[in-house]
Amino acid sequence: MKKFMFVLMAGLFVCSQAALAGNVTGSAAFSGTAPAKTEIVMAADPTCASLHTEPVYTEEAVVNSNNTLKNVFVYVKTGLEGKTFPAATTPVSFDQNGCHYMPHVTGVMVGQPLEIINSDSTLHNVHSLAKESKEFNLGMPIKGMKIKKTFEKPEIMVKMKCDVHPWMNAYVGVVSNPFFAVTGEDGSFEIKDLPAGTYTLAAWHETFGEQTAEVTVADGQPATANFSFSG
Amino acid sequence: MIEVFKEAVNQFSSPVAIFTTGILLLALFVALPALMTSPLVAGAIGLLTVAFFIFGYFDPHFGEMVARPDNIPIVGLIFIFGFFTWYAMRKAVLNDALIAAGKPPKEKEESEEKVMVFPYLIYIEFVVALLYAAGLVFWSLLIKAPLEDPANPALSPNPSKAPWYFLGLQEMLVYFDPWLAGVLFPTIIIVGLCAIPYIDNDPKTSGYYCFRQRRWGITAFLGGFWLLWILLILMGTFLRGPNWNFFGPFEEWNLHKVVPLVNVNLSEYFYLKWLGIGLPKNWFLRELPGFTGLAAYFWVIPTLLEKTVFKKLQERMGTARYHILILLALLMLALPIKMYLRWAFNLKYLVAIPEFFFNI
Amino acid sequence: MPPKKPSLYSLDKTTVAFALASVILVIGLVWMVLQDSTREWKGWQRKFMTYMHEKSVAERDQTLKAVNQGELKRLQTELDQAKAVVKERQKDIRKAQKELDIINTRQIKIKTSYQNLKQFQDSDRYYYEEDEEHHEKEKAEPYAKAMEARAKEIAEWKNKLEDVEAEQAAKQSEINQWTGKVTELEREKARLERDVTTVETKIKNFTPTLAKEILNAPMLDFIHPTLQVQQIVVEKLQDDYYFAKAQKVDRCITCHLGIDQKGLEDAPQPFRTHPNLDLYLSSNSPHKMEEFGCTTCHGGSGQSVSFTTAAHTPRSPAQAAEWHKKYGWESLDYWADKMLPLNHVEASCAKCHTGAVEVPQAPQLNEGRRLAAEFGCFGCHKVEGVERWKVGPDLQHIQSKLDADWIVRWLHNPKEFRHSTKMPQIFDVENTSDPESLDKNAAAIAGIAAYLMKHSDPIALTAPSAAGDSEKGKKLVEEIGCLGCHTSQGFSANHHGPELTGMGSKVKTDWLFSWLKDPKHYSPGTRMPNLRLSDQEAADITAFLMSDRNEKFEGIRAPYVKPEVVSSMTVEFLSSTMRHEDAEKKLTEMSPEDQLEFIGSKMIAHQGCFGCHDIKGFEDAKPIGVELTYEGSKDLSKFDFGFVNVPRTKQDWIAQKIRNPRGYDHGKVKPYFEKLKMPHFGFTDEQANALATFVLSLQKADIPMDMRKTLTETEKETETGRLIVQKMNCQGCHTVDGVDGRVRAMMTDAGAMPPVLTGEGKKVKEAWLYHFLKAPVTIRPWLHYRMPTFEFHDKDLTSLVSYFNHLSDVPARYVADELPQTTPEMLKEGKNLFEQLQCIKCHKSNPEPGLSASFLAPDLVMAKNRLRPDWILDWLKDPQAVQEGTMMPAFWPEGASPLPDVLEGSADKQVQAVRDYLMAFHPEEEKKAPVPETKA
Repeated sequence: MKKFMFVLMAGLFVCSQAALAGNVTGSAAFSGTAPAKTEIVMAADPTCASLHTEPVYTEEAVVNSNNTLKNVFVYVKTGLEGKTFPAATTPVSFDQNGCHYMPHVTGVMVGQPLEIINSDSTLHNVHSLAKESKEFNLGMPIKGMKIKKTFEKPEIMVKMKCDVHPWMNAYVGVVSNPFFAVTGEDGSFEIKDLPAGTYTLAAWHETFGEQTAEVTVADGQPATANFSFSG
Repeated sequence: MIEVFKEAVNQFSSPVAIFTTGILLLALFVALPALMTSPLVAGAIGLLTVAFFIFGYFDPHFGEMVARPDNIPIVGLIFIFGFFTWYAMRKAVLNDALIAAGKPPKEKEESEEKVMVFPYLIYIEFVVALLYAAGLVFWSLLIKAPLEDPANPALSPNPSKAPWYFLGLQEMLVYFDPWLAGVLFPTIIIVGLCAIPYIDNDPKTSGYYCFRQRRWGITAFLGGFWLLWILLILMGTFLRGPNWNFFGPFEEWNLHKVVPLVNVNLSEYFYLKWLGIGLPKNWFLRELPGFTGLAAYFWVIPTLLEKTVFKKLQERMGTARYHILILLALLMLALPIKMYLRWAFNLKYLVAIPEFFFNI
Repeated sequence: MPPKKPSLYSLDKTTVAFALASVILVIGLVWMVLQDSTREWKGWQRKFMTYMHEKSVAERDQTLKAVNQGELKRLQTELDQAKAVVKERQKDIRKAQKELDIINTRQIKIKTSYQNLKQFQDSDRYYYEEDEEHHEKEKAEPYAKAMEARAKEIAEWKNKLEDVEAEQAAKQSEINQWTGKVTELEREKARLERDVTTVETKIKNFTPTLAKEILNAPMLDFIHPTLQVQQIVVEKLQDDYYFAKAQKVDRCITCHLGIDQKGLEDAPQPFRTHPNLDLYLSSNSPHKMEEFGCTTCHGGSGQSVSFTTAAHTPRSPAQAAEWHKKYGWESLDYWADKMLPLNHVEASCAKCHTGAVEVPQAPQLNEGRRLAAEFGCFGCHKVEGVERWKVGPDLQHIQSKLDADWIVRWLHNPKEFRHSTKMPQIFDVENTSDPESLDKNAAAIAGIAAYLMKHSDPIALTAPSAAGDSEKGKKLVEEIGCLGCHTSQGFSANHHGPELTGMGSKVKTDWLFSWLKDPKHYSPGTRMPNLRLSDQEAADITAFLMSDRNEKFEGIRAPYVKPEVVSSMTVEFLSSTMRHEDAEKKLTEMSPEDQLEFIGSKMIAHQGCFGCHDIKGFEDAKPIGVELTYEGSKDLSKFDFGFVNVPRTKQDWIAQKIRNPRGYDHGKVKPYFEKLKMPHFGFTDEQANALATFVLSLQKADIPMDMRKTLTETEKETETGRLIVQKMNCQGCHTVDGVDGRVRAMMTDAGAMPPVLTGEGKKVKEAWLYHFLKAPVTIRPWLHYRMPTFEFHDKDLTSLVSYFNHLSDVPARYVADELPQTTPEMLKEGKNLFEQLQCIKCHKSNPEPGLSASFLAPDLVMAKNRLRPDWILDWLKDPQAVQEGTMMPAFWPEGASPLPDVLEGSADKQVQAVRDYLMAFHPEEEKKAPVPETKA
């Protein structure tokens, strides 16, 4: 009887925690004229040039067909003070493919490994221009080699670049909590299981700056936060 | 109004003015001693002096100068010597009155009485000693000894003043060559003072204050003491500033004051100004006017006086004493005479012999 | 016969007077004792005690909180219990104690006997041995016998002693069974409260008690006072009292009681801790308090123990007024060596830190020195021990560069042409602004211009060979390296060279072109280096610079020069060497041009222009300013304050002089040629303060050699190098010796910035560096910034190489390093690695279009002659650690190799193999080195 009550209580407790959390969804809208796309010339490295048959464009402002922005990094700016979250252990993938960083914008927790892969047969180097964490510059000459790296301090956003191929750059957002997302092809994002409370969400874009929005999460109910950028 | 007064005081404190005022005051003092020492007049003079100092204390420069630890005794000197001069003269005047009335002087009856040394001398001495000690203790508590900066060979203090007992001589240096003011005159002063008892062997007035019977002696002493000593000390303390320039009591000492010094030797006056010819190369010829003047002063004058005014005096004193007295008197008078010659004619030296570093 | 009842004076009144006098005297004496014993410093020490008492009480409360109260309580209860037990057994304990006392007495007796016997034994042994030595057997015999007998006795007594001691121990343990627990518990309790006890002791020290007051009482304070004058007797430093030197005795710590204690940083003055205890005062600092005292650095009267007489100096008149109000402070008239105010305290550093370009941790002093060198103070003011160079342009060929009109307008007001110019205002200043002086100024300026134009040799100039493109020129100026020294178009990182504005209104095109192509052709002593410009580049830059005109300046009309003023000035000058009539006669022989030229030369001599500029005819002229070698030691009375209202202190005089050099002429009546001549520089207050600190640092101080900071040979060489670096402005572009390259702040792309030279001595070979500095070659072809050719003398080159070596702690040997020992296998693997790691992707020799600056890397062909083999190893292992932000990636991060099958995957071996390969690299091989094929 005692054991049963204990399990019941534990279960209720866990459920209540879950019930006390909510998901936040939203999208990053874009208004205005989308900037003209710049084509990347890869003639300097024949290996890279040979990997593409169609023109490749820079990704500093990718506007989706539904007038939303891709590659917007959404994270919790205020509201989680004093709370600590254990670093996730699943590595986040960061690939050099076709002389391109994939994904262009991604997020990782403090201490969570970023797995850097070189899928190309040419020499790439991954130069992290982190200001808060230790800067690193890794050469990756061998196809298929992987290196895991972690960041020690939160930073919005760490620029990653390749010194061999100057058009290659990407951004990694390092945060100390698991509540972040990146908008995709449809410009939408979802942050799951945010504990109940009032927060300021921020949406960062490399060209159009950062926008903030207030959102209140009530237990069990989904919340929405929308951002709009203008060109 | 106050400024006008201060300006006037500054003007009247110039060496010539103050010296002349001194002579006049002394003359008044010895001519009318009874009046001058009467409590009313003496008290008024004393109070006026005190009032002057109090008034002057509020002037920043005068106040600072007078309140300086090493100048306070000099201020005290004025009052202390003033008091004692008044006291002696007062006693003398009273005795003169008694003598004129045919009665014996006051000291006679006092000397008839005899009392025990203890307590009438010792006890009072002891109490006075205690008061003295207390006074010194309070002095040291209230007024600290003045310490200046560590001696710096590259920096002489300006003005560089001698201690007060030599300030008279330092003032004399303005008018005389260092040989005279620093060597000859001090020697003669000391020798002269030592010689007084041998010159003045008149037993008549010993043992009691008197004036009428010792008019010349006392006048000579007062003149020498007050005019040629105290006054010069006071001038040296209060009225001489940087570069030994004259500064009035209410005048701020300014290092940059420039007073032209355009003094001329007698030989230059004689040969260049009067005769219009150049100075003779030979020093004796050149200084002949000076020598002549000195000879006239020290030889002709006594001889003349001997034959006329001081005939009886010489007979009474004897030749040696008389001559020594005249010499000392002439020497004493030489100082104010030279000072006036300087002030009136910008006379530098009567006899100037730079070849032997000797000037008069 | 004395009368029966004498009544000369009233004795009663005299007795009253006696009583009064006695009372007054007693009052006086008591007051005397009080005044003597009531001292300012005692008050401060009492305040300190109170302060420390409060602090310790707070600390005690803090420590009390930290003590585990529960544990304490438990111990206390146990202790009480144990004590109760002891109390119960008191009788037993007492009995046992009595027995113990008896045993103790026995033990003492036995011990004494034992020891006495041993003494006798020793004595006998001595005599025995001596007799044996002298072969006196008969005498020795009895001793031997006695010793034998006594030995037995000693053994017996020893046993007895041991027995009795055992008894003692037994008895003691008997007692301990009752009292032992108490002792143990008390010990534990004390351990728990140890911290509190320490603080309690401290509190006790700071608590005033009656006993302490008595010990400090006036007549008794010679025994053991708690309030004492504290002093540091400095062994090796002396106070200079003009006639004699006395050992320094600093009594500052009498009031400054907390000066060397950590933890009093927030205390009120005078108890506050000295700032930066690691640098000053503490026993592990270079300025130990016991060795240096206080007044060496701060000045003041060390032996004084009162605030005013110690010659504390306020920082400002406001602080002076505050001190006067609070402490009755007055400025000491009779103490020349006053304390330096805290805003000039760095002036004392130079007394010991001589010979160095910069004194460590003395930023204001260093800034003052730098400003003095930069603005050419030493051109007029001699300072012994300082290297002088002429900071102004060479005027010996001025007619090829400027026209007289420009010179005249320039001399009237240099800042009208270029606001940032370092050339000071010489004419039309405060003390020469009356109409008569203005006329003379105009004549003087015209004269100087005439003289300079006439007494300068023309220089061959080349015209630009092609038309210059101004736009290209602008880009070149921004990118080629001009901004490393010059300011242009609002880009301002350096003020070493003149601002590049208004050239069109100043110089001729041909001159500018010739100058850019080869500066030393016009001015052999110039510091401007040769940028190795091509003709087209020089033409472009010339076009760009000449396009900037200063119309306002061009429109200035110089004041009219009155011929009569010229004549009168000529006569005035001539009259100094001849009679007025002769001067007038000579004047009639001189044409107006001659007069102008004559005035010019005399005015140049008067104003000392040759102090900054090379002028023909004044090669040997002596500087005109006051010698400043010992200006800081000059007596205050020698500074002429005139009628200017500044506080009468040295530092205020000097600072005011620097801010307004001619100001001290205010209110004075002076003829034109006797007026103050120092030109007006327009320094800001901050600059003036830094310069004042520098001037105050020029002191005559007899510091013994072993107390000075003496530079080792290495350090001296480093300083020589530093001076060159400062003079030639290397830090305008490069990060070296702890200073960031100044142009770097203007650029965003790290790859485009001039290279960082930190660690250069460890990186490159001496011979290579020597030749590079002599004649630079391109190492990084993608950089727009060009290393100029400075045309150093051999001596300077050697100094610079030594400098870099010393900065990296590498001895300069100029010996070609031996090539590292290697094996053919290593070379093969090295080549293999070189290909697999695709080094050639970045380290190509020819730049390709379309790639930005951060793409390429230096040509590795140079590595063999240029780099040190050991450095290459460190570099390859972790490039970021050697040069932060470098583009070179790490191929062996954290010792892991990406190629596990080469050389057993050992990162060390792989790195070594690559290095060996590079060292054996031949240029021909580079052509053969294949670009790796693409692996699909």
